[in-house]
Amino acid sequence: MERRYAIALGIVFMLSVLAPFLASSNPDGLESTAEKFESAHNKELTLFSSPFPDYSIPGVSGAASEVAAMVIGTMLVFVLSLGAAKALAKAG
Amino acid sequence: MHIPDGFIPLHQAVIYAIIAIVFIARSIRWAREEFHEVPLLATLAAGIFAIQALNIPIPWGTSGHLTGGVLAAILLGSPWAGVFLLTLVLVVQALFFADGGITVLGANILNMGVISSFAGYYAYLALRGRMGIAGASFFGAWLGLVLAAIATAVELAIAGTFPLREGLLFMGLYHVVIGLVAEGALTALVVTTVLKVSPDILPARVREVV
Repeated sequence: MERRYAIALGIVFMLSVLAPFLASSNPDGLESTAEKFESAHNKELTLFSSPFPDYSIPGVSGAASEVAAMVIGTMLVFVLSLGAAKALAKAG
Repeated sequence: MHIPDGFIPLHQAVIYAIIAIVFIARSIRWAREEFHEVPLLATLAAGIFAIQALNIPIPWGTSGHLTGGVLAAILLGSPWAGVFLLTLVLVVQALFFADGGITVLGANILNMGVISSFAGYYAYLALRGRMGIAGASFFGAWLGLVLAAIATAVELAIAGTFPLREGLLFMGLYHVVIGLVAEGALTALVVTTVLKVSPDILPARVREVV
């Protein structure tokens, strides 16, 4: 892979390491809206246990847990996208 | 703006999923036939995932983050890029991080992948000549996010989860601001930076307008 992609990926992984420290913990726009309405309360369901709920590693506490979850997620998206796009480009 | 499971009844979620699948299928054709710069695509997808975790605070104790569909569409030169990349990111978020529900995955892809990417990208194309690349990226990304928020509010009103008028008001208000500080500002920043630093990795029709 080209050097420029290595630099870009470096920035991306730096972002994913820093995100747990920099991100606001305020609810997002949808969550804030949902808090206002009785009709939305207690409606949220958890249908299955995902491996990294709330962007953290279960059983691991502290910032390391969130950093690790973010790095794993970023790698996962990268590998999945690379694999999918490569396979499709080859088929096309 | 990720809708969780339980907010939309299954029979309605299925309809959004079917609409989403039609668009995803076409976006797969885009990746197969029209776009083969694989490392660029994968790097951008990973970047969108990372930056989606970076919630920026806004007033009223709320926060928001870049969603990235318009960014992908502008940089890769097609709204189908936004659909393709957001589908990948939203699937990973729903399956591995419980961010956005499984049953409502279609609705989330429709809002943040399809509606946002198409509205934002065509607004960008229409405004580029008048406003320049930075201004058009900013406004296109802002518009894409606001329209996605409005679509989400309407879906949740049909579902009986939000009242229609107040739902539109609060979703609209929050995302008008999130669109300025997160979606608009970051999209304009990334688009202008990539065009300046590495225009040659972008498709010809994207870099030739500079």
